Amino acid sequence: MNARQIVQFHRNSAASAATPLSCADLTLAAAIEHLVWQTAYPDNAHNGSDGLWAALQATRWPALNSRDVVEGNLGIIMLPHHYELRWLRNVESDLRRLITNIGFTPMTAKAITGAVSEIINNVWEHAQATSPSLLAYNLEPARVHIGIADLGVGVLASLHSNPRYSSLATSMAALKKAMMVGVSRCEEGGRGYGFDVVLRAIADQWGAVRLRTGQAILEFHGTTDLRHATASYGVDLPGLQVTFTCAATPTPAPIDL
Amino acid sequence: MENEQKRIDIAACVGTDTLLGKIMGDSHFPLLLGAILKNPPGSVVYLDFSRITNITASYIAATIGRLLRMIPSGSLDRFIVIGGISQDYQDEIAYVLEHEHTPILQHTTNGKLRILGPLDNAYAQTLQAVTARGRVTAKELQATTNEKIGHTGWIKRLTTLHLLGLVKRNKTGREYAYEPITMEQRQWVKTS
Repeated sequence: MNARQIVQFHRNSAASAATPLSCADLTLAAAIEHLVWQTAYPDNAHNGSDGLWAALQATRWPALNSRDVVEGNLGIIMLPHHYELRWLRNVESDLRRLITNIGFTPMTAKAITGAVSEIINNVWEHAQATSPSLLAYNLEPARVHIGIADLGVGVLASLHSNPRYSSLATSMAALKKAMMVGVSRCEEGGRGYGFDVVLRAIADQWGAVRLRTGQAILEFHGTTDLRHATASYGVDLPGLQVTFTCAATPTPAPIDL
Repeated sequence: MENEQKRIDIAACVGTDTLLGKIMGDSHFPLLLGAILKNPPGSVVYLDFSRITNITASYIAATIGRLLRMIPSGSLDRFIVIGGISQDYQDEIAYVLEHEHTPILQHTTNGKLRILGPLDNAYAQTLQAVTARGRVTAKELQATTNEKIGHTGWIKRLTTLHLLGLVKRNKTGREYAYEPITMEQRQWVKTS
């Protein structure tokens, strides 16, 4: 199944019932979290191996000849372990061009790719991941889905390294705290804008964002207000997974993450 | 020399037109600071963003925010003016400045200077009074305005504006005279 077929698969939900389950059956958020789950538990096939990369290879996502798959409007890209200026610049400009091509204004495309850059920076700065992290996107006409997943220490452990937040007891409390500007594992000023940028980009673009760390799941639908976010709990997962979707025009129907 | 305004082309200074994230901001900060410090103390430095295509909040906080935090502490004795700001990311800069509780002077497309970021009304009115008069002391402001503020109150306002890098000052006798930052395009000197 190639990338184009997977996009088609997403669009044609009726077909999924007759086809064995794969990551292609799922929304981008579910697919990414499924990959993370594959790496997280001893009974799973890809525990302890090359993390998300191995889990990805075992799915029915595009046949992988290299570490990155970029075909048409679907992209699965492994992040470099550390900050790489050229890589980030190339990914941002490619994604910006693609998003503009599917009907978003250049200004909106900049806001969205800016949000992606902020999350990727967060992964490099805070995740402390030992295996590669992943960026995936799926672009449809006037609709963009983007996910970034790491297998790092997660938000709770990251914030615990700052004595100011050592009293945080749960992943949910840590995740909610991390949504606020100025909250970071580092004490110095001018920090903690990453999530806020994402929330504002999503709220401005009739979108939704799902954040997953530990057992905590936090979803924002067209709002930056934590009081209007939906909190729920799931199986314990390592690292942080952020998936968001935006529309170029107002969307009356709920947006699938 | 002191009144000469220097232009720093940000894209040329840091080597890219896309400014993304804190890590990039941290690595670019020494380049920006180095370019600014090439100018003499007390000079006006114009940071030209006109060739920048995208910039994120974390980058702004790691560079502009950090530079502005250095000014009140006295470790950066320069007057910073930003310009060439695209409408696409002007709000993003204002948003970060709001959270950093610090204003900056922006050179607008119509050639005027304006405040970007937070500034209390009392200080904004004082800045307008200084701009209108060109060069003024606290005593002169007290004498010529209708506001019921004492001499010490004017001194406090003017000192705060100076600490924020929004007005210049020179000692005249026992008092300081304050004057607005001015931008004259013909005086720009490209330094990068």
